Amino acid sequence: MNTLIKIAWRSLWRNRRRTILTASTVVFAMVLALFMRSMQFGSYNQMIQAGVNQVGDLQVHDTGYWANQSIDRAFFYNNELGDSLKSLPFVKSFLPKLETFSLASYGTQTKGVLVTGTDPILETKQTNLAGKIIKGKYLTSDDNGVLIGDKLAEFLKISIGDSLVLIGQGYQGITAYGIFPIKGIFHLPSLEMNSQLIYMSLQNTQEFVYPYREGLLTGISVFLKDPSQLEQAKQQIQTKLGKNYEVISWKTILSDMLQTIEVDNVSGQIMLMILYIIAAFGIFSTVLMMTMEKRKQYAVMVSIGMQRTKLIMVSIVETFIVAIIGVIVGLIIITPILIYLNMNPIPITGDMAQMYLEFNIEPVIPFSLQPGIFIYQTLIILGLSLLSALYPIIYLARFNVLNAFRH
Amino acid sequence: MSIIKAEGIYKTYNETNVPVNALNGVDLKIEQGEFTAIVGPSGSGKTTLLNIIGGLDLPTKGNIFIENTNLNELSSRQLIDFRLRHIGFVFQAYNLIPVLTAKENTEFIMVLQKVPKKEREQKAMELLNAVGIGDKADHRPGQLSGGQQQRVAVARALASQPRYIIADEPTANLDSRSTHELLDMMAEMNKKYNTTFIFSTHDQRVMDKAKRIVTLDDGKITSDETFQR
Amino acid sequence: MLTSIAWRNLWRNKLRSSVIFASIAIGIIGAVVTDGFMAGMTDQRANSAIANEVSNIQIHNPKYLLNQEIKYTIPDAKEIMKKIETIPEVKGVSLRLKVNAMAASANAGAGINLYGVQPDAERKVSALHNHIIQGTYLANNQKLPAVIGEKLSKKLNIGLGDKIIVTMTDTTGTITSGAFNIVGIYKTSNNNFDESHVFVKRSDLAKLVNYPANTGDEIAILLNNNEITNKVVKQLDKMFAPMVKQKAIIIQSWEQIEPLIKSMIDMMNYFSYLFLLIILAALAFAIINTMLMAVMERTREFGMLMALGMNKRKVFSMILLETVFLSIIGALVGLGISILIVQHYATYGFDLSVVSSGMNYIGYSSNIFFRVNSEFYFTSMILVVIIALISGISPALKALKLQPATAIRESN
Repeated sequence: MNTLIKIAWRSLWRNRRRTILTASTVVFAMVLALFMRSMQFGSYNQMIQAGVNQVGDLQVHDTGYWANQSIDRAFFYNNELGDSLKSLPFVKSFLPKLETFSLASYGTQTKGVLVTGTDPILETKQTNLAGKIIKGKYLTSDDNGVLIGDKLAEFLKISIGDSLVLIGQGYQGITAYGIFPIKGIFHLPSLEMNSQLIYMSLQNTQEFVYPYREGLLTGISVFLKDPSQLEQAKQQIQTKLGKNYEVISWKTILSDMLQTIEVDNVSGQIMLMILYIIAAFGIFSTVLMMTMEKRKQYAVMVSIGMQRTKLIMVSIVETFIVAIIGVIVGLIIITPILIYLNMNPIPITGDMAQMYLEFNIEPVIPFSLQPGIFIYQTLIILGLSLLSALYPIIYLARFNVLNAFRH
Repeated sequence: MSIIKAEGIYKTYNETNVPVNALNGVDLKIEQGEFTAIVGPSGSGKTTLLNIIGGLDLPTKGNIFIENTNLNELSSRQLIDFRLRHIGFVFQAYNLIPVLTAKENTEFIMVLQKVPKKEREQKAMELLNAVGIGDKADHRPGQLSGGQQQRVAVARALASQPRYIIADEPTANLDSRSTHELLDMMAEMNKKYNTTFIFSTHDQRVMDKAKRIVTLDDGKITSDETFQR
Repeated sequence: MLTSIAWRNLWRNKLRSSVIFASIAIGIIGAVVTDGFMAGMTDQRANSAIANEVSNIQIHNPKYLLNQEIKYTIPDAKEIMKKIETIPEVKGVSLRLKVNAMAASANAGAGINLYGVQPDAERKVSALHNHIIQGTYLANNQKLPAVIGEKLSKKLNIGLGDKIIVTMTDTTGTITSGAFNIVGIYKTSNNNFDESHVFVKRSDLAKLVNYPANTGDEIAILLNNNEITNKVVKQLDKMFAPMVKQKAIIIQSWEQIEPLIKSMIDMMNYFSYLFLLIILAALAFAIINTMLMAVMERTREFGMLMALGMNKRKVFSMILLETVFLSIIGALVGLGISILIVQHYATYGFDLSVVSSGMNYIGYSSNIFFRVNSEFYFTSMILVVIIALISGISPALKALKLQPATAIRESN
């Protein structure tokens, strides 16, 4: 075996230029593939992270709420529920929420908005909402004020201290009505959120929607310590809480987004496939030429007594070495670049930035360092290279020694 | 007992839709220790006969026995193995593996025979010295002259300890002096180790050194002379 | 004659030449088909947006664009519309009243854009009436009719025959609300649009918000042909020059109203060319490799040619010619196949229904008609020739380095 490897290795270096050119094809494909996949997965993760931070890994609602999100499907919080959730080891934190649609009005301007009642302390711990305040102050637990997005403030022409009128749907048919001072103005990465969202303290919202009884919620967002335990967590929580409640995962809540990601993922893979096929052809043509050139040498080897299987081994080893060199050089080139970009994502500006904001994503191009990307691409490239070696294998198994001598 | 027994050998090629009868009934016996040249004009069939004796081709009709083994009865895998153990080859050109040194080329055949490292290294040097190029052991074929390359080829052929060595026009690419040197060296191997050499050639200088000359014409043996040399 | 020698040299090693043809063909097919697909996608998005959402041109009072207050109506709206209708390329003109409101049903609420339109005129401008999946479009004889999107109907859990309650402020700033009867439900390929756009009769809405008669916030214009949009905008600017100058009205094309769509189109185009370049770069390696081998194989022959008197420049050109021929044939085969594929899918459409929900989320329908993009074909051919020339330089130089005597000696 050693001798075979020796022969394969030296044959490659005998024709250095060709070996380098072929390896370069692999390097090129490798660098490009990894760059693109890292970028794609970076943005997928970014989108998912942003989404999950907003909605939670899981959400608990009254049964049937998700199918029909009406305020009448709200439920009352009881301590038992809280204790059940707290007792589960994989739960990192949970945020109670009360959401309803209202009409916000100031002066002659009105807009439909989503009122979100949340516990200010827990909320900022999870999403750092306090850090996104650009004017005014954040909410306290029993605050009567509201936080609105900068775009909404602009539209309503309202500023800190002004009184906002909210009319909306209350629980069990009552009209929710209230006048609230603007406590603070926030800026979130999404245009949609900045123009449609209003935060109030949970207590305040509960008063607004149903003043007759405490503890009304539309849902509880649950955040897990280990996101990979999603399925088990979901099942366990559902079992624990019983059939009065439903537990929905972020995959359902953000299913539209997931499908968009899938579209992009598939199209990316298709483009890569095309690139790989071309690289494979490049490798194939080299391997083909190498085989044809060495016909006489192969004929001599079989004549003096070398089994064809050994010849085939030499050919496979040659192809493999070239592929490995290409892969390694490719990795050496691209990995430091990706590490740098992972820590310093590329910022996006101008019109494209707008488009990102529309879809709720921060306008940067992030890069992922998931090991899966590297492993997967390496395997594909090695596999394709070996596939290109198929022709010489077939030739070596069947070629006629005497004919090879003659030409 | 003859080491090679060719009985009623016919060989027909059908490559170009016109059948070519390369051999038309050849009977030949070769004994251990011979130094024999097979001669004849182009198209006489000497290369074909040599290929058959060398196990590189099989006759259309007839039998070829190498020490009682009928080559017709071997599978292609067995044939390759048979050649490895019993037959040595020296070709006209492109004998050696270009990326291996002279020593490694000689060792190569022993690697195939699974000879242990120390033993084969020793044997290789021994043979290279015997053929007179021990000092060029670490050179690659590209760094050797034509004559030197052929010597290495002989060393390699001997390294497998074959029954006989087939040499197809071994001196065709060599100048006069190298031809003489190569032939003298092979004659010495023949004397020293009693190795059988079978050449095909139309070089008079080679024929002058042969101990037996078998002449072929139109696929048949037309003369078979033995000389005292 | 050099050309014919170069040409015939290609066919000497059929296997090798075929492999290169195949590589280049596949590369071209990859780039061209991908471009047809992406161009088709963006076309569809733009056309759908124009047909269902923005129309070709919109006219507003500039103050309205700034403040979104409905009191900033378009002055002399009816006269303006009459004049616009004289332009032959105009298919339809519609006057709308647009209000930001909250919609509610018995159990849910949502923020919406409420459009008051004149049904007959609106039909000529928006294709929405073709996308009704349940019930009918607005009709003049109906009582307080409303047409909502499927996404909204699901969100509010209301359907045909139910009432939708809308709350908004009127021109004086008073909060007012009204109930409309849902007579129709529509579905476009843009979920976001469906979720937020509700259509009612302008007369009904105007009454509700104390709005003056015969005027509106928005004039929407649909043209016969999307390509002439900018030309007509210029025409309108001239037609209404004094009003435009005084900032009484502002005339905008759909690209200005929805700049994101235009950026998306530009970006897709950019990526198509980028992809093509990448593929060509990969192919360059294969071409260089192959030609180098071809040159190394024929050292004897070049030596002989040079010994016979063929000067270096001719040998160089011959090899370059071979490289170019090799590449062009592969590219032409690839282009031929791609054109067939693109034509097929341009006629029959390409079905992506497996991921239709995700497509709708970003505003695309799941059946994409490819676009035939002659400019791209042309450019890719030119680029192939350029890449071939560049790739051919190295092997051609190598052939030149040979000295005739050495080359001939190699054969012995």
